Amino acid sequence: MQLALAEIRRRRGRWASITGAVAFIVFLVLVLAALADGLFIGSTGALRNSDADALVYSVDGRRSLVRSQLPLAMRADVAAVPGVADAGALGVLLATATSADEAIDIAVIGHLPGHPGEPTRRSSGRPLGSGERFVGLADESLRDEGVALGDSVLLTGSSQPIEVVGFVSDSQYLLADTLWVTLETWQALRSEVRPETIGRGDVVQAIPFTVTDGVTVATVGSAVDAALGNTETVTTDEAILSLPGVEQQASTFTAIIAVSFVVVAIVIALFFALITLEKRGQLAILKAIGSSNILLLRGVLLQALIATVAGYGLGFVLSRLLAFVLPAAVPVEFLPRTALTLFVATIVMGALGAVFSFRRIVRIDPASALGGEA
Amino acid sequence: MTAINVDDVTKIYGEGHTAVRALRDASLELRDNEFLALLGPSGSGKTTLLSVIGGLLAPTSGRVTIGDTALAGMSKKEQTRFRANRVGFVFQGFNLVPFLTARENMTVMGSISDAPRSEIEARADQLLDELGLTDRKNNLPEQLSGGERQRVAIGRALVTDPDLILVDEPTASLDTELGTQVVRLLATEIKTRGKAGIMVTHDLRMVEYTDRTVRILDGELLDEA
Ligand SMILES: Nc1ncnc2c1ncn2[C@@H]1O[C@H](COP(=O)(O)OP(=O)(O)OP(=O)(O)O)[C@@H](O)[C@H]1O
Ligand SMILES: [Mg+2]
Repeated sequence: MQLALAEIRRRRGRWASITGAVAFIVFLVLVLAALADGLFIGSTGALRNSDADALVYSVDGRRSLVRSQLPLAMRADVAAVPGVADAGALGVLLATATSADEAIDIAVIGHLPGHPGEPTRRSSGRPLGSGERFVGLADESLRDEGVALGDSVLLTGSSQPIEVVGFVSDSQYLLADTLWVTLETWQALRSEVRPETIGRGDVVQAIPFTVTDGVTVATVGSAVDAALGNTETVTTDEAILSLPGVEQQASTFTAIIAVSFVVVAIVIALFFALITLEKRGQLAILKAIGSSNILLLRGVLLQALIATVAGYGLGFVLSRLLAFVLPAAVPVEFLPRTALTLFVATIVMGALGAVFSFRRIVRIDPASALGGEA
Repeated sequence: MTAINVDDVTKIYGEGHTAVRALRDASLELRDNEFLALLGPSGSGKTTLLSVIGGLLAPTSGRVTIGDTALAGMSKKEQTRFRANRVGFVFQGFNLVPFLTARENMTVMGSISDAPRSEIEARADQLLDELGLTDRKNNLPEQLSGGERQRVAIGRALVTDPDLILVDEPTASLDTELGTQVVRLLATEIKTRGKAGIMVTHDLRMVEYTDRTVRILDGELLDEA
């Protein structure tokens, strides 16, 4: 141990460079992970922070909150299925609004206040009353667009401004800011913004529901599909992953991050392979005076641990600094859980890389110290 | 008691027509408290003999017994522990660890040998004093003179209080006065602590501090009365 630490202390330059290399990769990985988390959070908030256990879609809607169409009357049928505690309704209208001369995408989500499907993370203002018209709850992200409590939002194509009476957090839908209104308001807005929908009757996109204690969501879901026919019921978790792009994004980022970790292991492995080669003479001396392979391996592991912990720390700080200069529109989220996972992964990969040079250390013949003029 | 028994040891380096016979049927016995001088010209096999005794090189044939354990019977691991705990080897090229200070080059034995670290530290300070290195203890090998490096190497060999002291050319880089002082220290260690020691030397003046002289020529040992 003393040996491993002394080496780092007296060969600072070289250890700074390996720490820097690790820091750079960790920085990239942390930023990528934050982007992945940001995209996931920004895409899925509307469903993730819902109290519904499952959602009923139409079969031809293929699990899409935009394509699916169900008659509102089905809500009563769903509620009547044994095991269903309560059912709500969700209607989605993708619209634009103008704020500070800039067009912003807004997903207007109609729901039934007090029933499954409503946003659960209210951050300020008051909740919506049942059937209340032309008032809404805005996602916190709309604050960045200059929307404040009491302001009104006017959708393009609509004549009816909606007063923001409260804010909810983490309720975005596919990176669009959301505005939560009653089903009644939503229907009125839809007729104005999308006139072609007039006359389709009381159609909503999905029927979210909760189940009673002691039953499984899957069983109740099958019962709902059996009772209604032509519906596809999925759990909320499945619905989140079925949102367009979410699963693909997650797997793409996971692949990039996994490759980066392989790079961490390779960088550490190459570094230790190089310095082991260079230190062959010293290692032979240490073996000649009685160092065991295990003792030398412990030293190498300790050094790898120090390089990766320091590299991670530096990369972490750099990634946080970047967050300050990134424009607010870039959806990055630095989650402690992700940071911790990546920390553990960095250390494990560093150790793997270091262990790689163990074979080389074992092969060094202590007798080769005899020729050395080290 | 017999400390070292070298019985009919032959060491051949390499194979075929490049083979070098560095030791030929060498036999040698050393008792506890005995200090032996090994004299011989360059290339005669002095370093090879010390390495075979110190468990660094396996002989091609013959047996080496230290105390009552045969080196050949030891596993690789046991040989490593043997070198760490029972042998103090001063290499011809000193072989200090370049990024450790003079004192650290000695105290590093605290992690390598089984001796308690506190004991090693205390002994290192005492040896630094006896070897006249106290002022230089925080210097790296590259900042030390040849003679100072050599004394650090001697300190490292003695710090674990080993049973065997094997010294390859301890006085080559030292002037007579310092050389005498170092050899005296080695002799005292061997006499007062029940060790056995072999010192390779070219310097006939150092022989007077040893009990016995053995000459080596082309790998053959010739006892001298
Ligand atoms: N690793 C090796 N491979 C091949 N030959 C070797 C090896 N080491 C030593 N030799 C040869 O063995 C013989 C004895 O070498 P050794 O190092 O024991 O001599 P020495 O008496 O210590 O010499 P010096 O006084 O120069 O240190 C020499 O001929 C040398 O060239
Ligand atoms: Mg020699």
